Amino acid sequence: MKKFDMITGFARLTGFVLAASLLAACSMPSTITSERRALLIGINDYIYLPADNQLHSAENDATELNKILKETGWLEPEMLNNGTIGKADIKNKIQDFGNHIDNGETALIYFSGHGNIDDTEAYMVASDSTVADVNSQISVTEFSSWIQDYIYVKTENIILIIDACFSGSFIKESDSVDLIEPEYDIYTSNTVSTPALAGMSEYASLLAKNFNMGGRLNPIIISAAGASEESYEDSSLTISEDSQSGQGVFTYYLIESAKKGDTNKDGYISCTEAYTYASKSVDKNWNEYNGNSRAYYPHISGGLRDMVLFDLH
Amino acid sequence: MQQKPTAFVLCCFFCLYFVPIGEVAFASPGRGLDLGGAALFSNTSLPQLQTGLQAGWNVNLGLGFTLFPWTQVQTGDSYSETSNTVALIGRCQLDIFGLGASAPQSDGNLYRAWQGTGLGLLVGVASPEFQMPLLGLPARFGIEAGGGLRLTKYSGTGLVSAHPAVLGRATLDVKIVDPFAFGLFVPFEWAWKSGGRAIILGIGVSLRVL
Repeated sequence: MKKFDMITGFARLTGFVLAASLLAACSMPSTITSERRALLIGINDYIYLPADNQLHSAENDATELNKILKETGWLEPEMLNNGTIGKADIKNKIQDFGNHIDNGETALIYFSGHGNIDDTEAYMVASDSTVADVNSQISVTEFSSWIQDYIYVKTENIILIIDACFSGSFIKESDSVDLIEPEYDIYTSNTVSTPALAGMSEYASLLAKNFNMGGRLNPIIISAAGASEESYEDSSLTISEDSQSGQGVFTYYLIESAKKGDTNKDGYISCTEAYTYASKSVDKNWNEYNGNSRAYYPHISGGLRDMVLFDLH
Repeated sequence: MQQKPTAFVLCCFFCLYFVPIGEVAFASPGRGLDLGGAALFSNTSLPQLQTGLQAGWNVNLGLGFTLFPWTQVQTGDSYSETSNTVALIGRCQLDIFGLGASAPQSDGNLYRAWQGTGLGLLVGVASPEFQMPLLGLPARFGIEAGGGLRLTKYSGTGLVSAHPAVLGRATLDVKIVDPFAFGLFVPFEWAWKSGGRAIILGIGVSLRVL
């Protein structure tokens, strides 16, 4: 009799697990109800840089991203992509943007423009920045403090996308180690397809990082390039008739991911899906043709949390 | 060349492991090798976020052992080889697994897909051998618990991370024909990952040798 009870109990447990599995498999995604706001910054013009160092597609990048965001569930984005845009303009705009965010809403900040790096930090370059004076540029520390002071106090749902040289420096350490090196080599470096076992040599430090993760939700940061790499624009890439002067290569494929990057076909393109599509596309369509001297590979910040970037419903 | 010593040690280990102590399933003491696959689902959560469900899969290779029968049954002048007593069991297992992304929540948050591999060590108890109702085949029920270490990668990224986990496993092994046993198992895992936790439950089947 006891044996029979044990088998019956096991059968019930099995049934419960099967039912729960079915429930999980059939669970439908929630409709996204919270407001989603974006601030898009694109800078072509640099007062103190020579003519051949001006950019041509950064404004377009912001314009084209604006269009796709409006089609995929975002409120009318705030724009800062016309003419000369100084450091103070950017700071003031981020502050103003933060003032319009309500608790729990999603905030996206996108930057396309020049990036710089020195021995201590990486920088976003504003129209009025000078090469000699890094204080006229926006350092990682400064930008992080603006995000902390103006945005994070309102919401932890923050997405930062940076299409600039050395933008990998803006990604902060988390529970993970990025197998993709800050300077990508098309012949020897890891990619998003590298298996987890490649991280075995880092096991002890990875466990330590896991234990050091607190309860804080960090922004999801996507960078076009590694911390030691330049990113590029390409005049042959056009999304619409408005963008005849080309697009940033990474931004072009990030936008294209809204149409082609939904790997699990659920109608939502998460930041990770968009990143995966864009990074593979940059590698296949840019790196393969331009060689190691101009190769670069996008990066994304770690953590278990992901966020929807494009809602196709 | 560097891999040869490792391969040699592994070969020696497997050869010694399978020197037969008992050549029938559920022998006590005994040992076995099993290969199984399971469907998983994870109840995943991070502080300040709603929990999410992630569906996934698991393939595992286990080296099991049965030790210390608490009593032995004497048949004539010798002790019976088959265990019809409660026994201490254990296993060392290698897991390969993957979990898909969760569905988005109303605020746009979701949990990333991850995949990885891990080692686990479990000990537990196995029931006396009994006859399966209807099938009439000898069977054994076992329950084990232990711990494991996991190395994972967020799918579609270059980001690897590691975490510890408490592991559990309930198994119903049915002897088909010596030395093979078919198993139905329920794996359980409580993982501390990325400042949150994942409670993973599943159901799977395995084939056990010896």
